[in-house]
Amino acid sequence: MTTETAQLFFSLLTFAAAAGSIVWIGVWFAARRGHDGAAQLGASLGEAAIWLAFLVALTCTLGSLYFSEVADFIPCRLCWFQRIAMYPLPVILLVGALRRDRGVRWYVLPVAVIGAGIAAYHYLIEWRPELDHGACGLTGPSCSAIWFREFGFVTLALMSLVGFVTILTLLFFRFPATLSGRDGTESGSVQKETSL
Amino acid sequence: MSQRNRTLAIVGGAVLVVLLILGIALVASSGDDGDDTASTEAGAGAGTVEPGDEAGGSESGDGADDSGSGGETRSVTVTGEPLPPLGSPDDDPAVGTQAPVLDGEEFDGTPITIGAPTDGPTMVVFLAHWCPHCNAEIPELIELDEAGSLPEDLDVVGVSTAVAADRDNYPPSEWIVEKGWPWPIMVDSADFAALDAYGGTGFPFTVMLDENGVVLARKSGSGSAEEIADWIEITLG
Repeated sequence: MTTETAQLFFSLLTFAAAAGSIVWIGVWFAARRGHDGAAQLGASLGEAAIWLAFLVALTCTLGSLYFSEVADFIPCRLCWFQRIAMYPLPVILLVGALRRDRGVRWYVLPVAVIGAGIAAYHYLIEWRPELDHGACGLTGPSCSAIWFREFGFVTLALMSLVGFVTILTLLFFRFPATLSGRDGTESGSVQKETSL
Repeated sequence: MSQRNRTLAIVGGAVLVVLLILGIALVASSGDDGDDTASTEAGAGAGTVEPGDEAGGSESGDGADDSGSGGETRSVTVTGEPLPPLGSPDDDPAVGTQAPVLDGEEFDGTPITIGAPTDGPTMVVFLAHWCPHCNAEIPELIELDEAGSLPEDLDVVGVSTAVAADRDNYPPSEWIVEKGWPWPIMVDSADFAALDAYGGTGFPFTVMLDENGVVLARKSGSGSAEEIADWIEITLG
């Protein structure tokens, strides 16, 4: 796979994740308003939420590693901060999914919110470099210098932002659960937490 | 369908969507030569960089040829002791020392000298064509100039440096015209002789000299017109 193909692939995945998040939130609102079909769909989706979030985090992590290790895109300072936030998530979410521990979202929340905030700022200064009163370094890439802009606006920072937001959407727009925790991690509070 | 099977079906469906998108990407990119890597029509100053570029460190391509005239880099003669690399602008050991004299050319071949005694202070601005912060800095400087906010006796001179033929806005000779740079500009050599002589560590890199070529201040990074005006005022006292 060429770098150009990877850019297109991950850009399309970004669209899919954004669209999926919007649909997810739409179903959630419909279920909250008592729509039976949405509630049924939501119940099924809700059971898979942690696995889906794991899939998103894993894809983001592998994509990040591809662009730095295979495509040789040198990560800037803000890229590194986002990596620090993203890389633990597949591991945390995998453990949470295997344990069917819906409380895993509370461990993901602070990390993903910080990552999303940094990604939003990074995307902003890519368009408005004057807001970042830094300099282009001699020894590393500037945070406002971009590697590519697929479709005119999809950059690595936007991919990162959508990834974090999608993970948060999957974990925090929760549907009434039908499962209970496998062990005591949050088993006593699973039923209590079925409403958002 | 059991709960476990439902979850499996949903996650499996998501994986299939990912594979489908991968297939679409492979088919779509096989239909062209991969020239859709980047849209560079981004916002002000933002540009794309290419793999393998160390920011400021790439000098590959025909632009790196500074033998003879007409290139995007030219020979620069440095006379005097080079300034130390800029660390903290607030504690800069170069302040108060004599800057080396730079002899070089503008893009049109006109000889230009920086650092020699003049009638007033000189602000030297080192610019890299691919640098978003340099692209943001230039309109702010022009705004100051057009508003009459620059001191009358202040000379402004640019230095086009860190030229990379495979990076955004190349060639700098055209870029500087498109940006409307109204002041003289020296063309640095392929090994950044002028930048190194003045201790530049990032872009844009600005050095204020007094009329005798003594360093008054150095700074790295861009700023708004107001911030630049404040810096000039403080620097010139």
